[in-house]
Amino acid sequence: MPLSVHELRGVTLEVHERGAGATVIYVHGDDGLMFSAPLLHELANHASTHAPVLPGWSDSRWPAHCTSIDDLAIVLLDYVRVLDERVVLVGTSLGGWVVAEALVRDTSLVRGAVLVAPVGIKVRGRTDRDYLDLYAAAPDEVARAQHFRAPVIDRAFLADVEFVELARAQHAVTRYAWNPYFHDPKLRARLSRVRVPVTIVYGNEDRFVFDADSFYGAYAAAFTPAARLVRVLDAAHRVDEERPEAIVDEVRRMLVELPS
Amino acid sequence: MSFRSWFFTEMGYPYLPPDGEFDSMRVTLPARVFDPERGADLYELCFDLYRAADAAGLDVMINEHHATATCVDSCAPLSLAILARETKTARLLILGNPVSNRDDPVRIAEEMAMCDVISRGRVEVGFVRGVPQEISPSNVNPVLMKERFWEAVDLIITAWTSIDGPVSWEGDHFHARQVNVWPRVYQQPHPPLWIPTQSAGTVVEAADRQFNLAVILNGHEGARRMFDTYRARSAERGFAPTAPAQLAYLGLVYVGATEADAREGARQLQWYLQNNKVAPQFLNPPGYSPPEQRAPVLAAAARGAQLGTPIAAIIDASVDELVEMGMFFAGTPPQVIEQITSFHDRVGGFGNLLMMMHGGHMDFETTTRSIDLYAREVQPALVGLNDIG
Repeated sequence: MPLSVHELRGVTLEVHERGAGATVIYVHGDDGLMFSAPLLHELANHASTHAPVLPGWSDSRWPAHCTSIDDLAIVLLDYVRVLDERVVLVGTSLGGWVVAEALVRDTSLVRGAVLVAPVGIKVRGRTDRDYLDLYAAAPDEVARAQHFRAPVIDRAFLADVEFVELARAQHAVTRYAWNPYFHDPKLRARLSRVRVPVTIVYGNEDRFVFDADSFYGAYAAAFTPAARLVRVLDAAHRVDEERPEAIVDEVRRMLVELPS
Repeated sequence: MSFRSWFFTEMGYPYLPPDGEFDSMRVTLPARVFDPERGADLYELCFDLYRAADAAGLDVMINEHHATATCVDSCAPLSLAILARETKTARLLILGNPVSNRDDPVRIAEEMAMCDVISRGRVEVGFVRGVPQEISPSNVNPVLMKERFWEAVDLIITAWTSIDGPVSWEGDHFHARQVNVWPRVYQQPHPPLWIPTQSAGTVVEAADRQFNLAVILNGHEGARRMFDTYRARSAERGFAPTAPAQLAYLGLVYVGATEADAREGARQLQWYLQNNKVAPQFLNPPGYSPPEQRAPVLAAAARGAQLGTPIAAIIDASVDELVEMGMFFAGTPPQVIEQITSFHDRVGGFGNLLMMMHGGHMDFETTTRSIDLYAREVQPALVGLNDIG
């Protein structure tokens, strides 16, 4: 994919661009863009798709001031400002959290957002985790939480250099999401101030959250009005890998229904 | 004294369920397994052993781990306080304080200062980054551990040495106001500082600050490599030539009156190496090591390899093999003298032997026989080990 590079107040942001038409910004999840090619390919058939590499992932420069998810949200908003056009934001998992943090700050150039298996809020009590503890669960439990079927791209066949990229991605996730674990205690209450349409897409087999239906239901209900909620069958947390077409359907729907 | 010998027990709780009934001795083994009565006996035994080591003329060392049966000394400053009163002459080495895992470095400065005063200046303070298994129980972001570690150390030293009125600290990880540690430390400007490690990167950082370096169970090859790195880095930075007193090695030690006694004692002590089961997810968390170092481990796991414990290579080794590697010093007094002298020569010299002399089901008599033999017959032969000429 063609690459553009943007200097955004100390952050050097690389953005992969593909396709034509209305602009969609895809904000990657935990593994960066390593496994996003099928989704980006499909999205680019319908929209001008921009996929930034967030600070900390891949070969990106990681400035010292970029330490939390709201820093990433501000990087995203700075990039939207560079484009200076109204965009649809799509974010998966941790990328969905980044988009949600951006939405509560500034939607002046945002037409709407599709959050795919977003994290970032806490709905249960203090002794009940909302998210599987990736750092304490057995490896097979982590795998089941992420994928309903065996991953399309078998991790066993990654090249050594790709394992370095994966290790960097996990390093970045740990930096940003360790504590509070995968959430911002203030985000849930703030979501009600978002005034653009939001769709939440999640997999019915998602085991990364404690109970997919009730968790994502609570997430959707936190918006005012409530976000559209789309339950995708035969997908776990990585809907972008397992059912990319379901995400594309929701983005297309938003592009058709919303004013540009 | 140019060569010091430090008695140490990890205070392992040995009354475990059958091996197949749990997958990790660390982090997840339910505390219900710990019987408070047996635990009280264990503490009594361990503190009696420390008192015996002191009476025999040895120095003593303690450490700290969390959420684990391998070490129930979970609050080493408390043990240090007990030893400050219960021992008379031993130097007291806490190796160490897991400073990045604790929220208040000023409190650590206070704990160490109080123990230093109570013991009339016998405390030696170690700082330890902590093993990867303790990241979950401490909930410290592993990506930030190293940064937090050094900032905490800097704050503690500042707290000890700021004796002319309060100072303020507003760092990246810790904020403190009106820092004014009472009591101030007994040893001026502060107690000797130590750092234990198994990693080359930390050796360089220890040399840069001239902290005493303790290499843990790396055998003579690993110890040689790390001691040489420390010596070379110190020279590169223009410090005085590294003194033996700046370098320490931790190994298992059992001394018996006869070879048969030594073999039986060593076999009991070996329990520590053979009971250290850790679930794989706790061994290699993101951030604990740089991504480039962690990637091959991720690759191996994805390709089907089993992640073992970091001491896998020595779990199944015999005592003789462990002696050969320099992990264990076991035998009659002349044999142990020869083993330690040989190790000393192979690593280019060092000045502190940290001796794990108790573990598993070893009782008071079995352990103190070894302590007494070491103190009476081995230590005197080693005292001049670093004398020139």
